[in-house]
Amino acid sequence: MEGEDVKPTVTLVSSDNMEYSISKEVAMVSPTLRVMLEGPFKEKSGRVELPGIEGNVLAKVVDYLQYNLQYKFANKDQEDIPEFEIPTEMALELLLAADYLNV
Amino acid sequence: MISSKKAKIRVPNRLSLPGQNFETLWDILKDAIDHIYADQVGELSFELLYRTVYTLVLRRKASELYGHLKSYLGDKLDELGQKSLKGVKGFELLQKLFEIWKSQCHYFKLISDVMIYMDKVYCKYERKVETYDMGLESFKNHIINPIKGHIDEAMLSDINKVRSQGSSEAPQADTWRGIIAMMETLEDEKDNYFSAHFEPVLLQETENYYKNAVNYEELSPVEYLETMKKLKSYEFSLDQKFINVDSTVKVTTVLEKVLIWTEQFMDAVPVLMRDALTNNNVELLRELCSLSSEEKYCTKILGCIKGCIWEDVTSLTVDKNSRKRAQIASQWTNRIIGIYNYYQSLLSTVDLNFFTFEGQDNSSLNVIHEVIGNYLKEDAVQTCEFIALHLDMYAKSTEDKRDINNVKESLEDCVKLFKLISEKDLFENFYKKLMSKRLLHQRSSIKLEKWLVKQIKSEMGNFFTSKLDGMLRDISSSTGLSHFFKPQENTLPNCIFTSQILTMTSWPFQTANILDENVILPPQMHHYKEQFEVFYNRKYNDRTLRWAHHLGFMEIGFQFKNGYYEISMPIYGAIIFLLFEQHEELTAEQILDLTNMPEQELQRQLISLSLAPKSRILKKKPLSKTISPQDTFSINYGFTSPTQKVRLQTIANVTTKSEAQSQVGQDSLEKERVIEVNAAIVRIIKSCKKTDLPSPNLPSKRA
Repeated sequence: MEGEDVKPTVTLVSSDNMEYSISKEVAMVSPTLRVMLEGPFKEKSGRVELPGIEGNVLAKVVDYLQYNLQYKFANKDQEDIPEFEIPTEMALELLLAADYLNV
Repeated sequence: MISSKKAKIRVPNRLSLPGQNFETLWDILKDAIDHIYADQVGELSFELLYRTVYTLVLRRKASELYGHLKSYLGDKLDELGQKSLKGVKGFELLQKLFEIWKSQCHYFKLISDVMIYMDKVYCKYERKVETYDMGLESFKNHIINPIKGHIDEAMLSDINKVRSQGSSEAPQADTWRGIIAMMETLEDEKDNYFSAHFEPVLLQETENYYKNAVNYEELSPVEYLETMKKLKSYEFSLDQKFINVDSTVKVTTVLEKVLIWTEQFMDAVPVLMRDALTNNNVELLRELCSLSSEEKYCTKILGCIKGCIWEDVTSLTVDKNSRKRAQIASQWTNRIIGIYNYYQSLLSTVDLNFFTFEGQDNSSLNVIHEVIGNYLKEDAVQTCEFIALHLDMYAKSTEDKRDINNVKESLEDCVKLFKLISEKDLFENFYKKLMSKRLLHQRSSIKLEKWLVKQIKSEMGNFFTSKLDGMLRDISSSTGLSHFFKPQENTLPNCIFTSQILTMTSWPFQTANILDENVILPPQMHHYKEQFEVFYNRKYNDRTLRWAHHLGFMEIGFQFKNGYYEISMPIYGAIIFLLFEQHEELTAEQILDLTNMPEQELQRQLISLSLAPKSRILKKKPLSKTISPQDTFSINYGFTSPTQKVRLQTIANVTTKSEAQSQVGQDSLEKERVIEVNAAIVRIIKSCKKTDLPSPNLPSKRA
């Protein structure tokens, strides 16, 4: 874990109590998470429980958040942007999670 | 059925909260709102609330949720208004209101964060205002509207209080600004609440306040201006503290309306302007000009300036009866130039350019030009004559070729007036006459004459200077010609003959009098004349040479009792004078016989030779003021003069004649104009290729 001043991290907790520690910057990609983290609510502590999302799905979500952040400003013509792999069996769950997190 | 052929798609668990009905879920949210209002947000799990909203929206309960939320907020706000704002008035009300506003905005923000999923999924598609804006709307409906009147009153009375104290510090301004910002945030039907409701009220009140603030009628113009300035700058600085730029401008406009467009001030403006312009008070002038940028006001200011200039120029008096016409002319011209320069320098300190509207160029120079041009137009004949005379006077002072540059400098100002002269041909006429005299009598430096013609050309155009150029050309070619003309030896050695060959069309003289040909010249002159004729005919075979004695002059050195004088006089005068080489005494009749010159001319010359006070080189018996055929003349040996060189002025013999002459000049000018106009008409018709009938809009084109 890195120092909070340098890169604050947040912890996402899935329905099966899997914990994912990611940098706040990555979490902020999702408007839903951003509002949670910036607001004065309970979640401002940095621990966000997402009882609606299963651990493996959440892992994929975190992957996507990182992927999004990395290539958000990339120039499509110049850089080779790899495809984001989505396992077919997870597609629907991811779809719901994406809607929920507004990404 | 959610499955695919290859990989199995897992059916996702529902993200939403299971099982519960709308009421339970709504209670969760209601409870959350209560917490928010109680500032206990930290205890709430956003995720839970978010998921609640998510669930409700997914269950298609969004519109119910929206309605519930709205009415619940309304209730909350009503309660709040009852509790904290009831009965509160004045500044306290404003303060409280502002506080509530701030906290409510915060709450609305939180609530709308919670409702983010509903905003996204429901409000956007149903075209409902989003949660935050809905909150603002409720705020307006439930808090502001019930106490609208109180707020307005509180604000206005508070502002007026500060105004009447005139203090530059307004501690309340922060609150005002807050309230105004609140009003600007709140939506009204078309615009925000501020511009739709409060701004008009504010403007109205400002107008009323300033209408009654000062008793304007008791103030003198200067005091009025001072007060006005003070009020304006005060109000401006006050406004800046609490309203936006646009509204400040609006308030300023209102203020201008109240302060400037009063009868008193409208009466005061000309007085002040007069004062500023007369005393060279740049400060005051600037103030007057910058008071308002309204077109109406600018027009008024411009009008005042023009009026003042007009007043100044028309106050120049011209003594028409004075005999020293040239002097008066010069004086007059100098004063016009003076006024011109004065205003130019004065008005250049003000930027009149921003008065430019309707495509009208109102630079200070144009204003001056317009007014002075109008003035010069009033009496065009006099103007042209005077300016020409003025130039004449200066030009003559360069005779001894000393201060050409000085004269140029002083004439440069006069050049500016050229382009203001509307009847340029008239001016040319006058100028031509005077210039021809100067050139013939060599009374000015050619260099200066050339310079002047160049100036005229650049200000008025080639058309008007073709004849002037012709005259200058003649003079220089004459000099060349005289150079080649070597008289034969048998002439008197002490005579120098200079010829001036003039092209008839360029010079403004009537065709030489036929009688001229018959004048009997003294032998020496006759000799020259014949020789020159021979010389000229040899050189230019097919040109006709005609002598114009009346334009020539002659310089004679003569030893009087008290000294030797060189007297320059017209040829006719010289002819008469030279007679006395052979005769002691002659009567007028005899002179007439001997010279064969026109009788009128003889009279004139005799008067100037024997009666003009400064140049009496002939004695006349008896000493009367008229010449009769029996009067006898002899050389006045007792002649004295302060300078060695004497110029004999030929007096205009009959006053009526000069008038007649100028009349003739006018007539010929008229004729010329008619010719020009006709030519122009022909050109227009030709270009229109309408040979059948003159086009109906011809007169307008002529004008």
